[in-house]
Amino acid sequence: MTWRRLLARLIAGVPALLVVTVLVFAIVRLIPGDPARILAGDFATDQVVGELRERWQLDRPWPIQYVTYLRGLLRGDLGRSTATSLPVAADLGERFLRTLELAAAATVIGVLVGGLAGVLGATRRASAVDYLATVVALVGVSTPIFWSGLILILLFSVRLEWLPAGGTGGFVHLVLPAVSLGLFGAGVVARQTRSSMLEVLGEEFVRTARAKGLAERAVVYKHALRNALIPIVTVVGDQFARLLGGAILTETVFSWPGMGRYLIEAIAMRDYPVIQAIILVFAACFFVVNLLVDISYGLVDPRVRAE
Amino acid sequence: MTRLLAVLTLAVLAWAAPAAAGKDALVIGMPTDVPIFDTHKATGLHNGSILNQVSEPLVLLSTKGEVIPWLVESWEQSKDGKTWTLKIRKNVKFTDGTPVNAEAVRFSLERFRKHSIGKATLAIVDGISVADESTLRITTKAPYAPLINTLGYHWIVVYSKAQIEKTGDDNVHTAPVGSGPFKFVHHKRGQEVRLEANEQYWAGKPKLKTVISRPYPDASARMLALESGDVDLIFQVLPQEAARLGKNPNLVVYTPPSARVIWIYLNTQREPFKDKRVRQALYYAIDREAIVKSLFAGTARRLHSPGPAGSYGYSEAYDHYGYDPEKAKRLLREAGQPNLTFSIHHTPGRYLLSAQVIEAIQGYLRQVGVTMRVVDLEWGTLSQMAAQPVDKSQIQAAFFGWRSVNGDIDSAIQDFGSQFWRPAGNNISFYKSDEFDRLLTFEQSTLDAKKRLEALHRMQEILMEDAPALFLYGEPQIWAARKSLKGLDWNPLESLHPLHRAYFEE
Repeated sequence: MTWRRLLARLIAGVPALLVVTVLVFAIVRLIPGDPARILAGDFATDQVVGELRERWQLDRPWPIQYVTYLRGLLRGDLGRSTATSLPVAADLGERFLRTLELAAAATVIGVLVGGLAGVLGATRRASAVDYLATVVALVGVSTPIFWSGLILILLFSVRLEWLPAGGTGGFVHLVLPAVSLGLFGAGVVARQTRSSMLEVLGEEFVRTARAKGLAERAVVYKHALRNALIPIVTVVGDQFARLLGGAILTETVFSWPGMGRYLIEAIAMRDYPVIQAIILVFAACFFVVNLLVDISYGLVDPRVRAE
Repeated sequence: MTRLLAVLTLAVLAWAAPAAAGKDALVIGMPTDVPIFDTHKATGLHNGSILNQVSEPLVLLSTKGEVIPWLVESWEQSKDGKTWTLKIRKNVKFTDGTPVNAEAVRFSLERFRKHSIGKATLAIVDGISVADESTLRITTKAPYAPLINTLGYHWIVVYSKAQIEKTGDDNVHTAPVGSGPFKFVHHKRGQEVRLEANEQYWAGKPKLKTVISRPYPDASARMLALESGDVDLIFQVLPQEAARLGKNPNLVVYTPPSARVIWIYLNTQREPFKDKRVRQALYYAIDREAIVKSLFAGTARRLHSPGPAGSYGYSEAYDHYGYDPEKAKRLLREAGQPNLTFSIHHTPGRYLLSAQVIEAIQGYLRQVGVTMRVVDLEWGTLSQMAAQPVDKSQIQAAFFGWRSVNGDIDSAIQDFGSQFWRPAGNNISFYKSDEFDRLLTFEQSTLDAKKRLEALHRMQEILMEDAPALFLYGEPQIWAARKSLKGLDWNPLESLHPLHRAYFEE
């Protein structure tokens, strides 16, 4: 991808994000429920609710609220949380870093485990290894994390006492959530790798490589895998982008203060500024990760670069 | 390369080193993080367990409905009932060294009245003035007997005025300074609150050095964190798990009485609940005792009045509704509603086991020929619906929890006054009784404690007879802790008292 095209892509992203702000702004206000009333507690009087509505400018017409919001956004101001009256940006930054940490660790685990299982499944098709990899992948994808997560805690924290049961504080706290989230991703990566590899292994250049007398390892990892990478990179990129939006269940089970839990808390409180900010960041992440995936196509496949 | 690796390894090790926690550090696992470390802006009553270690209330409420003198040592109500004279405890200092005096208390009360979502509790207050260094006067718009109980509401705390002037009113949460047994160290939002002992605490030097609170939003994960030793004390244990935790020789389960009561409001201005007999029939049809015993494993308490049990004025004498399905059927026949059908609005997950309770009630009602349709709505939606005035209200019946914030039954029953019809107040039943209204005015203004108690009893009798709501049970507040942790105490608002007496046994 040339610099010119990269720049064009970046500029094209701006109107897309603008549309996102309009949609999100409208959708959060269409959810039934009044933030002022939720904030005011179970049995607040109308006076208190009215004061809160005024304070957060919820009594103004939507277009005016939107313009105020957009004006803040252009200055880099995401507003203040209606639930805590603190600036959204500071909290969001902290939460995003936590999510990034978890998403990166989970993606690494997912790629290593899933990639290996996929390659093994493809090269030893219909063998015990293939079946085992398929079963593991299936279990990985279909086990609900609120169950597998608790089982992991029970085993590694309560019984073995090797790892903390949740929360943050250091590398050890990252292990359990990253593994359970990573194994889920591994299932998807394994399936994609396996089918992609099977397709490539049947192609003529692989036969040529074998005919030249190359070692099987070199054939598989140097020739076949490299050519099978594009769909795999797409899947991995997509997964990573999704994880950046926060893994709600994993974060809840492991008490991980990431974006997913932040979003759930914000929706429960109808904390409009926070919901808007999270979804905007999520959209921006999707955009950036997709751009990175596109760039990486050129890195893994010279043909794409030539185009 | 080698050097880079070495640096990386060191970085990982530094990052991975867990914080040391000795026997003098208490770690609490809570269902939520403290939203903002400023008690005047707080939400979620259980967060008082942490917030009140730094900033203390004027008086404490015990789980038996008593008022315990705290920063306010004694009080007196004037003859006309409208002026309260509060004596502030002498020689108490904030942790910044400034004195806790009448001016500091006045300043904080005003700040509470400005910011708190609970400020309506002090709506009766007309003015607050400083009489001398340790004397404060509060005047009320009308005589209001439970005022001193209301001052035990744990969001009404005292902060150092000097410190607030230093941080600015908006930034109190960055460095809050109170007079409590612990000092604020940090609040990593979403992750951890850390407090350290206030060695000069007026009620005695705290035995613990550190108190840490961490959020564990998932109830099962919270329980596992206690079992694994990550935390020493947790709140909101599921009733069905309480028994299992209790069998663990290293743990102990506490169920101090809670001020949270669970009611089903019945809209008395709409069919089918205009007729008192229909409302009473529902009472006879539901076995409340069985619900408390089986679903809550005995941790909840059946209500015999609007409750909460243990609040001042509470009486069990007027609950004449035993479990009697035959009588329920007869009443329904008499009211011309033998095949009654109605809808109940409910928010799943908001109150402990509410979905299971509703299911049980559905079963009981089916046995007397009543069909109850359950409309599950998310809380934000339901609270908005319940705020509608009588001519717009879509609600026939609604499952709600209510909490008395001052340990006096007045705060639980006053909303059945007709001036509190939604949206002005919280009378979701749109109940109206002239005698009740009269007694309410009398009870809140009289200075005669004996007559007031009589009025409170008669009001409960009226409510039990007229049944504008089904008063079901008091929710338990269930805590579990390491057995070696001693010296804990609670208020009825799901919050720990100051923890200066807490310690770990060897």
